[in-house]
Amino acid sequence: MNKVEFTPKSNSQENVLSFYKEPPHQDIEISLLGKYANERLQVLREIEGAKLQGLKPTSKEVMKVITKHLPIRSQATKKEVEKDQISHFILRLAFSQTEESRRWFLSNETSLFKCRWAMLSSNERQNFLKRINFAHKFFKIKNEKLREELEGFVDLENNRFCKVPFEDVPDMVATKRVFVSEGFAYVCESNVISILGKMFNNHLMDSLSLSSKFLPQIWQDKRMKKLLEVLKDSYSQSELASSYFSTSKVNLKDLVWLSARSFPPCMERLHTSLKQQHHLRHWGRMQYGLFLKGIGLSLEDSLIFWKNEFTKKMNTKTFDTEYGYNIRHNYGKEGKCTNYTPYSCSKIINLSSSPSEYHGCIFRTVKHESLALKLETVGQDQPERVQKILQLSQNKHFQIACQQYWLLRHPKETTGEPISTLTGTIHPNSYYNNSIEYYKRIQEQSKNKKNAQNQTNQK
Amino acid sequence: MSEEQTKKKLRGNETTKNQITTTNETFSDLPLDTMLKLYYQHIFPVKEMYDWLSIDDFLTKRNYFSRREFAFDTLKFRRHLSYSSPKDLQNQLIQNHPFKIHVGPLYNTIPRDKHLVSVFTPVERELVFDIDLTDYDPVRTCCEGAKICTKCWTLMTVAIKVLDFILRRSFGFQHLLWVYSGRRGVHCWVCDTRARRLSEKSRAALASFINIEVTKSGWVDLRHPMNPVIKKVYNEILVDYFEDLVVDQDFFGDQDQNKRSFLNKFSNNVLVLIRNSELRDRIQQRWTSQNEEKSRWHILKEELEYEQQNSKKKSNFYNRNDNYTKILQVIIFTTIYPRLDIGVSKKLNHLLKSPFSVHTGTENKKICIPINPKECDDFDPTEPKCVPTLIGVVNDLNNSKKNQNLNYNSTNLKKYVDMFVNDFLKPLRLQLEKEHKERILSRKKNIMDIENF
Repeated sequence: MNKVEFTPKSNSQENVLSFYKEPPHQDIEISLLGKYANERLQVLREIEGAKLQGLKPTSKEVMKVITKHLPIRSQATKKEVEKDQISHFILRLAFSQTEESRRWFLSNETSLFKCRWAMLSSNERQNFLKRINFAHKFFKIKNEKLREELEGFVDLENNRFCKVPFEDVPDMVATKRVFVSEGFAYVCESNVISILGKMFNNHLMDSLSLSSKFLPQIWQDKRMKKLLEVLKDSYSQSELASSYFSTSKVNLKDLVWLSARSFPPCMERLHTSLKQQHHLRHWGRMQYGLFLKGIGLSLEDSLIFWKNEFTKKMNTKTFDTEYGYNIRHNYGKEGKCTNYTPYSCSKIINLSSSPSEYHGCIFRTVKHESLALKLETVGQDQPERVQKILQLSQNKHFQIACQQYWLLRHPKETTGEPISTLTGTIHPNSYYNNSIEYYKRIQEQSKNKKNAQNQTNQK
Repeated sequence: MSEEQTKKKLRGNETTKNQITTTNETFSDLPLDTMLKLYYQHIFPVKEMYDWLSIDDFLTKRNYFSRREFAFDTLKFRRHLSYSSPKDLQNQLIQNHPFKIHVGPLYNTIPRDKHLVSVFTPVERELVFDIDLTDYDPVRTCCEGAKICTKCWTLMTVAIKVLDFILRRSFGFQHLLWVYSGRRGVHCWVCDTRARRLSEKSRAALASFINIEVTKSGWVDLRHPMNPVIKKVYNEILVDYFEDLVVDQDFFGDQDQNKRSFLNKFSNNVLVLIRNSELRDRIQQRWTSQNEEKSRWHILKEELEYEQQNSKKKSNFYNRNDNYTKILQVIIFTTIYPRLDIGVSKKLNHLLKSPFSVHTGTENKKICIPINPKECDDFDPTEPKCVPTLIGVVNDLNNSKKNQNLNYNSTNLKKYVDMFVNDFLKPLRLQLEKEHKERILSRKKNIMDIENF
């Protein structure tokens, strides 16, 4: 029997919106479990895509997807409730393992929650607040002094407010959208989602760290282990992480022209900085070193490459003791022998860096003026695209800026968009792979042209 | 070194040295290291610092002091230092005589033993702010960089007033320690329990609330409708101080020798804010006219107010975009609203210079003394006698009478240590005692509830 057992307990809800405090208690077929999980994943990816594009998660496209896979209605069917609960909890397990996956899950689940709130009617919202025993009371502001202060800032006549500690609504406080006095924020009823969103976020954050503790127990069941692994690797629109590894090898001598031609701008910068400074600091070495592994640089060649550069400023012995070990570690030859995967864009973007370091995403860390200069040199003939890239960087759409940069550098691209505009570049190695494919195609095309010409000449 | 020995060293050979004068020159030839050692041994108020940083160790056994991070700037920079007692701290200070001391957060375990645990993380930290006059370089006309003077120090006074107001009134904090950072800025330490326990997200939100971004154009980004807190700050603090500062800083370049006026420094000058070209020309004309006796600021206000009155009578379509009070607000906020470094306030593990640390970067070596926010109008660090210096206090020590104890009481620093204790430490301790009693009461109540259940 392909079933996974939960301890039985009843679970009824009026509508589907939930804080997911109680895990579901029923039996379910494992294939259905996977199906539910994938559907929810699709919704979360859709939300991520919308956010990357700068759309609010409450946009029409996202709402359509939510309604299709995870509908929210006041009289939801038992099945819909079950699907929502089960899919959340299984994904919570799958994504509790690493810091990065937790962050992704947390961010998109919170957006999903907010989006679903937006779809509720006023009555449904009241019911939800009642159900969770929402601690704060709503009131009309009667105090004269307070009314005078708030005059012109909020609509005092048509709104009720609640008083919450300012820590509960950090987003509203940060943007000065809320009046704060004596440590309390006066939140308008229509903005109660800010409070709920933060509550949801806090609860899920705590739950994720708890969930990770259950993982070893759950991994005992091989079916669960496999399911969780597949789910974990498949988030963020990516194919399985292992597909980023290039099947072809790369030669040491090719690195120079490859870096100028096919590397994503972040790696190109690291390469240039390494050549100039004959050194890179920790994150720079990690980001670039793992990338090189991904494009097919062997361990031996990698050691030669780094040694060559570093020993221009230090002696061989220092290199061997301090850096050699770590390179071998990255290839899984030392310590616990983990085969580290090259960093994805989201990881790279979130790396913190200081001015003397060269890692991270250039669209985020490099100053506007320097970025503009660089773009203008490589994209002299495409000024609109250059402007577009600068605009996207400023608006913090780094990955889409990178995708546009790819198009800038590969101008003869005719097969469409190998990197989707919806999500932008998601992995430096996929940028590289796409570039290699592009040049292969160009070669093919020119070969075909030559053959065709020869044929006509022969005639 | 015993007290007697120190006195002898300071006084030198009694028979050859005359009564030593109180000028600073006498001891400026003592090496810095020696002066620092003397400072840490006798003057630096280590017991008072312990009383502050140990929080409620006097009531509970939470080991706040041992879990506190310190950092010393000596020839190297060392952080994650910690001490078990005030004596321990003092001994290390004397031994290492750092030229700068930093105070970091409270960790989950003793920082010195961080390698013994699997998780080493900050758990509590005062909410801190750092304001530096160099951030005002785009608007200051009298000085720039590390240089400061009485005129631009007023900008700090405004910053203290604004921040103090918002932190107390809006966020309900009561235990604020304002410290002169030694050269050109101030630090604020918010020490309420609630502040210490704020998450990084809350700190970031709070700092963003107070902060007003200066855009690339050089003008601030003011949101309308204005948050009532910011509006209050404007009406009750900024408007009045601006009247003084507009003269001192000559923002509008009334004195035409002042090429560095705010007006001239900006590629988009003030008049660009006004879209009504007729009005703009009128103001420009009056500004350049020889017959005007009023200041440019006065003229600007006059013309804008007049236009505001008129626009109520005329049809609105022409002037709909120009809200004349908004223009005045933008000018005032851009020039004198506090310029924060919000990065300092966001992180839990940020190190900040300790109060009563010495600023060894300057010749005078001023001491980082507390400032009373209620009296900050009278505080002017550019006044020669205003801030105690390292040389000065070492000198004071030397001049102290033979039978007196060698400590800060015989120096210029006494007034500031007393301020620290009376205005800040004592109320904080009272509050901590109160919180402790409440905790005990609620625990008793919980136990009774369980027993009665």
